[in-house]
Amino acid sequence: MRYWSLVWGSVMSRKWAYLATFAALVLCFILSSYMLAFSRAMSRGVQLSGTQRLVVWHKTSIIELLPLSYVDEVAKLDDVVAVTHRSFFGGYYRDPGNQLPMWVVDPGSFMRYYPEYSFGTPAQAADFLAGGEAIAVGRAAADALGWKQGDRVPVHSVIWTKKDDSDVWMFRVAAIVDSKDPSANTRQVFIPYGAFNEARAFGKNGVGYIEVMARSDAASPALAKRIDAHFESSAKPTHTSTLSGFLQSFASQIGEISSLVYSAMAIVVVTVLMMLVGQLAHGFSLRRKEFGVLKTIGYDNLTISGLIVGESVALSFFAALIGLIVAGFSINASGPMVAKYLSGFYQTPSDMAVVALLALAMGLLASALPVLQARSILSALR
Amino acid sequence: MSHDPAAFISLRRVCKSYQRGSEKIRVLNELDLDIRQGEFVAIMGPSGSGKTTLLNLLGGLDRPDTGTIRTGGHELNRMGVSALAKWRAEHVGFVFQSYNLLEGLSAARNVELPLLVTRMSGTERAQRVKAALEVVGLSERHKHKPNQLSGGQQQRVAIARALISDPDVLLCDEPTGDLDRETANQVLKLLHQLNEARGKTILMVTHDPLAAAFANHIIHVDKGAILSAPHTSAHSAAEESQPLAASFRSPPDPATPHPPAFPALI
Repeated sequence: MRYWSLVWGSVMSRKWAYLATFAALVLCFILSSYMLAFSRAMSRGVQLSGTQRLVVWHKTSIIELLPLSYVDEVAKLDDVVAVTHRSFFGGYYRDPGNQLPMWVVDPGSFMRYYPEYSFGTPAQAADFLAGGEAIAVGRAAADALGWKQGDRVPVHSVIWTKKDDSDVWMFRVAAIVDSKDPSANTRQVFIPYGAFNEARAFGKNGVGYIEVMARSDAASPALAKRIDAHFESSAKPTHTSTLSGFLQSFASQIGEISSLVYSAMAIVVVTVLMMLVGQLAHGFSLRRKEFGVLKTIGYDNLTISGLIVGESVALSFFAALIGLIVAGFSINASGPMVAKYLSGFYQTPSDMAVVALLALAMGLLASALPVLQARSILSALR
Repeated sequence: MSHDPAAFISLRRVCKSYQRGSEKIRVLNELDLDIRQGEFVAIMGPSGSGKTTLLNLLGGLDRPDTGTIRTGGHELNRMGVSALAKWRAEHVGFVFQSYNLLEGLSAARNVELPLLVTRMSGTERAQRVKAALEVVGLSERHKHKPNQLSGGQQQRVAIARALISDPDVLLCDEPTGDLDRETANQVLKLLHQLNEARGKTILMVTHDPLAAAFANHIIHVDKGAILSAPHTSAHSAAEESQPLAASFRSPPDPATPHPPAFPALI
């Protein structure tokens, strides 16, 4: 700390140049953080494309319903680990423009199928599980709609009317849904199937589509074929696609786009980093005379090197810290929104460690040449 | 040349060459020199004569190709880089033509710089800085940055910085080269006072005969060798220049009391 005044004095004598370099460093580290989050999100998207989750819908159209009995039949097939179903409710609250994804689900199988979701306290989860008017609302959806646990809410459906011809469905918010996975989409509302099925005017015992968890990725393609074959000769044949057939081509496209975008971002980041390293090194070069003077008054090479490296690394680390904080707030704030399109877009401790290592490398790299230059006193004093 | 047993600084058969492209230029050639403690010596000579190289060798900033350099019992040519740095911190003060103050630091912080590499406490450092600035008459301006000081004031800050470690020797490279005559005289009087009253050994490279006149002795360097001094300074008129002014035999005025240690002195 005894050298603090010396370092601070040097910084302040070139404060605008330092400020510009520092701001550029902060931006660079923000960009690096975004690049890392984006990279993971994209690779995760590709991973998901090979997932064992399958979707079964009506062969003709996704708006055609499948019989509820299909769910049990699918569950009995080999390589099926879990099954649930969901139907699009098409709901809005007060204003038709205020639509959110609302799904009619079977609470029990849905909760088993999506263990990453939590449904409040055990009592609240049991309330939702019991069905009736009790609905579960995703955290982001609750925030958007201004709902809280215990509220009674009238919801309109643009698809489903009740037997009395009303399109208004009265629900009670039983549980707020959260997820340990920050990329999970909680901007959704889940409505129990039982009471809904009894009350609706048409489509009784029908489901929108069936979700199937295969034993493994490898088992997915064969299972999809088996499901479709099972219902091939029925009145309502199915099309099982999802994340094997349909998404395999989607995955490869995503993979290529991801690789392209990632490469472009990496080139930009590395170029900017190298320019900043050069700028930092140039800043030190301008101070060669200062280092020469310090050596004439008794500072040895080790002390001078320590001052140069310390200043460079400290500057870089401080910029990285600010960059990480800013990036952390903005990435994590935008994460839920982005998660609808790109899951896995968030900042992790390993991302922070990578940025910190980057800052260390930059600091060392920027100070390497000045340290060597400062070893010669006489050239520094000329 | 015979060795002066009373010499504080002693150079023997010192050679120094620099490589410029494919050409090797010999800057100092078999140079011998003895300087006693408490002398104020002006080193004069044309550009490229080797006087700054001589000063650099005396300050341990550069090494001779051959020959020996002894200062106060230390054989500089045998010392490593770190040992030389430590030796400079304890025994030598440098004053440059362009002051070489650090722009971002106040006068006091600039003066304090040599003490940062010591184990001295902050309080003691502050006391020393205050005392050194008083010696050069700038205690009122301790918070001023270099760009808030005149050239003469900046050079006085540089002298205070050179004095702060209470060195045996002050090495001054054209200390008045950037100053007007009146300001230059003030700086030279200060150096003369430091030599007279405090017994500092001062070696000053200069082109200016009027500046050299403040010294006790003048040596002329040309083509890497020490030539005869054509005259002595006004302050040592009684002394005779030597045919080869490589050796000075004039001890400090015995009437001048030897200075006490630095902190007590200032």
